[in-house]
Amino acid sequence: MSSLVPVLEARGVSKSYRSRHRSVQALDGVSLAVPAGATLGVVGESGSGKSTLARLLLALDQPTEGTVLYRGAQVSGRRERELVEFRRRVQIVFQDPMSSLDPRMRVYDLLAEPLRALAVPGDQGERVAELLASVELPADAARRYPHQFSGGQRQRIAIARALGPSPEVLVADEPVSALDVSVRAQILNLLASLVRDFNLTLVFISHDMAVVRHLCRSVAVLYRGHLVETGPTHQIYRSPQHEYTRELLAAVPRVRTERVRAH
Amino acid sequence: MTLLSVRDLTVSAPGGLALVDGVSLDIEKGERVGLIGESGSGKSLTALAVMGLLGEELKATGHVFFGNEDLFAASERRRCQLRGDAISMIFQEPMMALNPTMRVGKQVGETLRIHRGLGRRAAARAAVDLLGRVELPDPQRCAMMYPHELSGGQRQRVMMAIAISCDPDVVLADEPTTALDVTVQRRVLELLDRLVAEEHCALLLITHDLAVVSEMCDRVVTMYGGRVVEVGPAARMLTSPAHPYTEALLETSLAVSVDAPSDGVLPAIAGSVPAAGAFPTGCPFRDRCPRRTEACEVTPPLAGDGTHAVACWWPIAQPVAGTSTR
Repeated sequence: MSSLVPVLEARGVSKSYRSRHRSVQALDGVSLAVPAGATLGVVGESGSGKSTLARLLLALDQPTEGTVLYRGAQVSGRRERELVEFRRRVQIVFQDPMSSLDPRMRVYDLLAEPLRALAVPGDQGERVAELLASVELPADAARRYPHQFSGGQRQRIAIARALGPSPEVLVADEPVSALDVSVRAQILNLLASLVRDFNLTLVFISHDMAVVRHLCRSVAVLYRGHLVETGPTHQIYRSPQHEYTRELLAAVPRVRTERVRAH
Repeated sequence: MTLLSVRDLTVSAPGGLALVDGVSLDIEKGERVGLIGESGSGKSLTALAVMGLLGEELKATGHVFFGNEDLFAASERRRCQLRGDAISMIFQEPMMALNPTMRVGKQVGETLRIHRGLGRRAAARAAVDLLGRVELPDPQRCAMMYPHELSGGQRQRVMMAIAISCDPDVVLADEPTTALDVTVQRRVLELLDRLVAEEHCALLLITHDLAVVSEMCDRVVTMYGGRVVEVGPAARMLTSPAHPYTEALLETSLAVSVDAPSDGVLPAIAGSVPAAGAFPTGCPFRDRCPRRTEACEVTPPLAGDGTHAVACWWPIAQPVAGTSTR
């Protein structure tokens, strides 16, 4: 297949959530292509639809309108058993590993579970050891439970779990937002090196404009369910075209060495 | 004159484990002090101890002087008089701090009824004025709403209205904008900046965000492992800090910037903040510190001149006056 076909693509996707009294349009006609090898940052504030977009790209939810394609083939609307290959190839890391990792499972089982479920060939024990090494955790971590690790280490476990089936796309939804600054840098460095070493395509969902600038070569800005701007990172950060993008960038606090106080 | 003076504050858990260990810090009248450090460093406990709002299971010793008065020696009745009046606090999560079953106007007016003896009507009118001062749209209508009907930013404005209602001398703000979206954070910070200036009150701003501190504060206190490890003027602390921990926090903050591309590997601090009780003896930062030696097994005292002090055996050399560093 031609390399010009995007690895993941949303075509005119909309998503509305309905309750008894009202309906909320979380995403409205968003089209976005993720080429192989891209590192795409999806930025926006709460309610902008960025997590909804992530769920649609991962086929965890169905769009109310539009389609999601993986290498040109539609995945939205497919039955789960037709998606096994897709599930191997596209994996996710969530914000809070404390709620995404089962607290009653040892790390070994947490890492082995997706290998079994997705029928990944090869020796399971060896693979678990490899995965732990790739996220720089000691081999004896396998015997322990999630609560025995720090927040940063738990996020390493979540990343190792996602890497299990050797995915080509990693979708990370605010993976460093719950972490302290010193640990955040460690996890960002790890993600950058994994993307490089495993040729991963990265979709990085974040509200943090600075982190996206560091990690991603292209960026998509969402505002109230609409895609308002997309393009190469350096271009958008240097000359944002949309009013909202400008506001977002201007709002970020800066470390100033000379204080300017207006009074 | 020093407005608020914390002396040798220790907060211990049942069993004697010190969560805050010998903290001393001063806030002058009208001064803005930033208290920085990662989670688990003891920032919030320090503020809660000053407010007298620690849970019953935690024990605070030391002194907190407000003017000449030692608050730790004062009666609970006296502390109640000061709390919300001369000393007020803004919390990170207003949804937890506000009463979900009480209309917003009544909650804002409540402080005035208690501390100023205002009647129901007068308090209601004053509450509407205060909601206007924190720039809530249609304050009349806002006063009649419940906290859940407001957005996160609006709720934080309500908390600020309560905090300034009795013209405080000092406001303790614990991560007031951390839970907010960045554009909302910008507006709330601007409001906090304006209110503190208008009220001529002092501010203790607790945050992990050095950029927020650099925009808001005159002086910075760094805490780690329940101790103050460095204190100094913001301009100095955020350009040439002396403690390796402050330096590492600053390096990390500057490396990830919206204003410049940052290729390559980010500077990171090795390891992570240990759980309470798992900090090493001696310097609490020594396990993670690139400058450590055997000397660090002994606790370094907080030492320096009148403006800048550091608790480190191997502080980073300060630049000669007149040379620029960054």
